[in-house]
Amino acid sequence: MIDFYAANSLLINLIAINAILALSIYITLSAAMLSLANAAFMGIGAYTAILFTQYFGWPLIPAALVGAGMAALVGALLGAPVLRLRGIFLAIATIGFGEILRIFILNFQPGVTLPFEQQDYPNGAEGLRLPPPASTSGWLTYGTLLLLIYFFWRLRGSRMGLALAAIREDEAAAESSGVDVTRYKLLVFIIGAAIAGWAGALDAHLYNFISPADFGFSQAVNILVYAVVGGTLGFPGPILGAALITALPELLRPLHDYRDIFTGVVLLLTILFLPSGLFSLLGNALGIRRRWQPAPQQAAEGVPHVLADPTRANNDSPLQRLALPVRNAHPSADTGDTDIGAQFIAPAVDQPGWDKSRPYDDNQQVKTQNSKLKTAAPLLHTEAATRRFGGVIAVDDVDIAILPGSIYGLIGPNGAGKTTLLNLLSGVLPLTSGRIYLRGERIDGLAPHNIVRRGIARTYQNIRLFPSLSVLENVMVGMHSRTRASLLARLVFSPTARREEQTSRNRAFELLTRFGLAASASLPATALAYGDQRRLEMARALATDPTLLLLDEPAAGLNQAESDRLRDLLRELTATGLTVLLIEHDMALVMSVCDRIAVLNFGRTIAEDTPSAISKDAAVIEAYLGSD
Amino acid sequence: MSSNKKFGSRLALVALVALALSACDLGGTASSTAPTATPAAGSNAVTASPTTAGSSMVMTNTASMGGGTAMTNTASMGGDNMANTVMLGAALSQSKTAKVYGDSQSKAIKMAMDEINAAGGINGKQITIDIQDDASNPKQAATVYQKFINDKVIAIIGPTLSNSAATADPLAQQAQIPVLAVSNTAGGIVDIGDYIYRDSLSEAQVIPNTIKVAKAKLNISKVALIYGNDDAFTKAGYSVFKQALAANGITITTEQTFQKGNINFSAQITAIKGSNPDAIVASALLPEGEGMIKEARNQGMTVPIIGGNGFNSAKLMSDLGQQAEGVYVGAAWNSAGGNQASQDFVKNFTAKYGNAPDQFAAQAYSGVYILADALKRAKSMSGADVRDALKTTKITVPLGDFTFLPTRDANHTPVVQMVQGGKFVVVQ
Repeated sequence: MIDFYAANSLLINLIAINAILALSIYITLSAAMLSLANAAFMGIGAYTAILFTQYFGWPLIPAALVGAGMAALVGALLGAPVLRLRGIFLAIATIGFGEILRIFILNFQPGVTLPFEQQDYPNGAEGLRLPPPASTSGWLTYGTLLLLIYFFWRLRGSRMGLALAAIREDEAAAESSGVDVTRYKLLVFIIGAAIAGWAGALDAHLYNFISPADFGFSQAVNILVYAVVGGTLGFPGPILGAALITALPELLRPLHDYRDIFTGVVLLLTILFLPSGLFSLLGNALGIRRRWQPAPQQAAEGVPHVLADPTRANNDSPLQRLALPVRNAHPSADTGDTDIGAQFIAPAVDQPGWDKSRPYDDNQQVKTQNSKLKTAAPLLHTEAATRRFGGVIAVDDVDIAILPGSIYGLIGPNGAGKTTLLNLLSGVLPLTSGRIYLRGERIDGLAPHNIVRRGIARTYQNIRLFPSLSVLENVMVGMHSRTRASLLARLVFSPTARREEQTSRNRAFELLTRFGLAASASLPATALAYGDQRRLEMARALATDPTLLLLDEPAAGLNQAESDRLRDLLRELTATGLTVLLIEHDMALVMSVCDRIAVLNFGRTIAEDTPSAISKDAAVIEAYLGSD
Repeated sequence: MSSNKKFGSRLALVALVALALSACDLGGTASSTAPTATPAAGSNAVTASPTTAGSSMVMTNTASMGGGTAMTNTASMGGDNMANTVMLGAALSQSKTAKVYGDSQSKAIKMAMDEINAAGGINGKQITIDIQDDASNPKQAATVYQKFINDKVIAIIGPTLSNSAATADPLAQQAQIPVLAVSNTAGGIVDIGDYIYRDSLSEAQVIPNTIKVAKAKLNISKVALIYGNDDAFTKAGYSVFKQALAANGITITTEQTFQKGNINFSAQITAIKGSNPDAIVASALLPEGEGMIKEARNQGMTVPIIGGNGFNSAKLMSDLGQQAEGVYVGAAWNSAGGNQASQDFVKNFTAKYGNAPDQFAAQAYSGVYILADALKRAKSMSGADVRDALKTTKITVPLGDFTFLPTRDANHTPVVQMVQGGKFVVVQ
């Protein structure tokens, strides 16, 4: 064993280092960021660590920590401007960064001379040699790998892990579910940089040689290929990919000239036929169905305009056996109940607990419980809210005031600016001019997640769920802004964190029960029928514990019975103190539930009154029917 | 609907493109690590075709896995080598960017091994050379060395590239296994330790001689210096050129740089032309070097152009034709002249492989003979004894009458060649 290690130590350690590098890109990929800067961060870590071990004579571990810290620092400076970019543009920007760093190293001449062979630091294209023996050991490389495995294991399913998954699935929906997308992306980018920097330091001290060619573009691509070939749906994937791609050329030595061809063919086949990577193959071989892959037949049945069949939801699907362990699972409300209407709203009455005992309330979240307070100051009001898109004024000088506990309707012809106004209120779009107040405090200019934090939640006209997250996880993402357990607490198995996790899980389950989705808790969101998806989106919005709920055409695609149930639900919600802004084309619904209605046409408010007054308003009738 | 799947396939696509890109890029990167010369004077461009190589010969890859940790093994050889064979290792770049050099070396090494074995081997024992591909990559070279050390080879030939040597040779030094470099030209290689020898001439040996001869012949007093600053080989060559120019009292009118992949040299050449030098000194690899020469000639500069090992290729003349005239380059070996051993080597190599050998082949072929000679004279097959035997090498090989300097570098005089009438001619 020891002999085997000694005889192959370079390869064995290189596998671990490449696996660490693969994890460094995996974490950025897990937030849907395609960054190719990790090779450059590797170089920063390596050159920094070498300066400390060779010039200052430090031992490797503290020097490598400094290297990782330096990479993290540069990552923070780079990330702030660059992370606004998405997809391939981010990739190009990060490639550019790698090139800048390479040219910097090629030309940087600080006048530092290392004691070993009097080499100039960093010695440009010629690279640096370090005195033997190598100071990187298997304990260090595999110790790091084990720590990272532990980190990623704990990250999965954690508050942060869920937030990252949500960002990966749908950035906008994550942001309006209360996730600080910008902060998380930067954080993840920095963590990736630090991991890569650490790996670079270990690599340089394993081979005792580094040159700018070691962290150039081809290395950046290698790191990406490890992750993609291994699979990016779980952390074992990148490790697997790195191990395979690193070891394969050595294992294939007997093939001589053909080994590169063989390796290339393996890579191509993997990418073509296993887009989810080798890890998925392993999963299939072991009979593991990944829970985020919708069972095909269920996904296929997700036909719009059909409510979920509760009997089907109760089928013991294979996915359910892999469900997240749900503690204190609420006895499901829809135990084969054929009354779908009851399923939609029934538990609300039966569950007095969930609304009042909101353990996640921020202290300042004192709600106006009395919906009768019509004389109270408005919960939300706008002053001359205006939004232009070039020459088009989508929202023009709109003043609305929504009283606490009321249902406020927003109607108007298509293109009137209703959704734009909702986007302004939820912070998705900035105002061109004007102001928005919540409880008398200005909220315009705040990021969407901050507005969620202050108590405004929303749904989307086109349902925006996190498709491959489970139904339960979708709701738990909504609780992001109401929970605070740090990943650190989870890493050390802090009981507080565990309690919080358990409570949010229970709370999410209660919400699902209330919406009749408890039986589908472990299904991927895409497996739900259309109506169920609408309800799930509302459940997620409610999970943010809002005082004001913005609903964008919640009845769209629902049949008459369903929209009747929706009406009942809205009344239930306001009875508990929630305020609702409702954009809707279903006039019967609007007229029957709204306390007040504003009518928009071409961005302007043409009427604002009670439903009965609105229905007689000449301007409104003209806007809808046209004038003769 | 599944944005995740979409993201996955997008990733796969990007990875695919990136793979293709990196395949192209590797070309660039590799030349960055190519510290060695391109095919030498008078040789045709090497068309490597390993299938034609030594079909009659059996390459044994006997990896005798022995006990004892290789790293701490103090070179107690022999025991694990089969009684009637002497096992050597050769780490050569048989794939990726330096393949053209590695293949040439591997042919020459096989040929030398066959000849030596046919002539009775090492005191009756046959030589077995385990040739392993280092993929033109320092890390793989180190891995190959670890395998050799583990297999208890008596000595190692290679690796092809200097960067690989810088990474891998310390392992052999630590394990006390002698290394004979046959193509490394960078500085510092033999400084790695007392087990590291080389029969290839370093830049530091070739370039000062080139400058000295060029000065005497061309009577130059001021030159323009141009080099690639992002490549280990060209950058190192630049430093050596600069020192040599200073030592010969030649002033530098201007220093210009370029990067790998540059194709437009008009800015640099305009600046050089404006500085009115007696000659242009260039530390460049062949592709950029050719572009630079072409631009200089197109701008009407007829001054001599003095290059490093990077210009040492017959391709220079075939690519540039008339424009290559007046290029001066230093080399370790010229196929045209030389001693009887050299002429026999050229004849036999050409007969066996169908193309003329280049400088790499000559150095690798000579290397096997140098090692075999040391093994014959060594008191035992231990690393220390082989090392000591190498120290007192005195043998005639195609490179000439060969001895080592006390610094373990090759002790023979480089030649300076100039392009005249479409071929390299030795400058006397």
